[in-house]
Amino acid sequence: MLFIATKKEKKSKEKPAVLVMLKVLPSITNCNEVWEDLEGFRESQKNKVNNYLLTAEKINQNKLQLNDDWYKLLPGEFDQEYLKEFSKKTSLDKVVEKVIQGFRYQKSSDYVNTQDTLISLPREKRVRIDIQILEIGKSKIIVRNPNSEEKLIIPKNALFPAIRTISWEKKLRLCVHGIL
Amino acid sequence: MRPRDFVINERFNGDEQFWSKSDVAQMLVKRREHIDSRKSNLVMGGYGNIDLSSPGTFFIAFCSKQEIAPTWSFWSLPCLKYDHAIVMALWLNSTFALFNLLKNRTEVRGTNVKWRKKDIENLPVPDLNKMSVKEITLAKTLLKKLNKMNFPCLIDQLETSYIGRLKIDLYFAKILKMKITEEEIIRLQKDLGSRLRKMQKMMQRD
Repeated sequence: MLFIATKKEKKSKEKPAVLVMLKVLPSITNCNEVWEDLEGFRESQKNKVNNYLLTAEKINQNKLQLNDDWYKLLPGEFDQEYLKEFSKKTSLDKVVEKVIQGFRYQKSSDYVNTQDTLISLPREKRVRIDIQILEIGKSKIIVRNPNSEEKLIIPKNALFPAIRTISWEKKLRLCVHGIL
Repeated sequence: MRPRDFVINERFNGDEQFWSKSDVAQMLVKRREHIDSRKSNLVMGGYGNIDLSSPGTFFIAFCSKQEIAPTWSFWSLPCLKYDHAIVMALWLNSTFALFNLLKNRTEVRGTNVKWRKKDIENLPVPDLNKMSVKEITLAKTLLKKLNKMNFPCLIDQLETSYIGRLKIDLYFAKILKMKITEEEIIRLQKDLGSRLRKMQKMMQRD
């Protein structure tokens, strides 16, 4: 996103501002071309331009003063008035008990480290798993011991349901009837 | 549904060689305390990076009847009641919320995003206290139906206006009395899908 305003001068109020969405990452090979397109558009009588490098729009400077939210003024953006005005609205912190990060799962953690905390079922595609579940029984789970070749049998009452990543979680509702 | 990850929070037979710390009993006390402070019936990705255009990304928020412990890839957002967690999980996955989330994202790279605490706290959501019992019951029925459906990945849901996604958006448009038609919702979904695709392409060009 690029925003080009005009310096405050006597006549600057009459000059439009230009809002630009670049479609390419500026690089040493294309910066001249991008610059020429931008300058060409700024000097032209056109109000809009849309090519493979960028999409840009001129807007009246008054619009910037009248709106706190300039995002919606960007070319191609929706004016989301319906979102502002929907009834029964509040903010998330008012409907939840707290907003807090999940447990600090990392190698150096004292209590929830990656060596002996989480056991996981394999996913459809590659997702990092530290201790893989081999089998789920009625009251126990069998895992591969990461420290040896042997299997470990962990009873249900030693486990608490968890979620490691959003990747390949295909259902909105996770855990309904207990853990096993 | 059964979770696919579990925290080990008690000792078990034959665990002598398993633990990485020497004082296992004390470590487990601390572990349970830490997990207890994070467990929740509503979790949302985005504390750590998530890729909104990944073929493995289907939803960004999840509800759970039994409380669940999220890793720090997630925000833990415990609700007073499970019913509330259902409505919030639906809302956070709605196209309306996604628009706001995209607008307030911390961009990591292209469609790789995360959200700061302040952005999450200020996110506009339906006021559960103003919703009727009937409206909340409708959300529960909707969730049951959605859980039987095979959603495609998030970006495909948007680009194709997947029926499950459309049902979520229409539910909120109706109960929140939004001035938006079904055609406009579809346009909104496709627009968001196309925007994510553009962000994905830019990321691939890096």
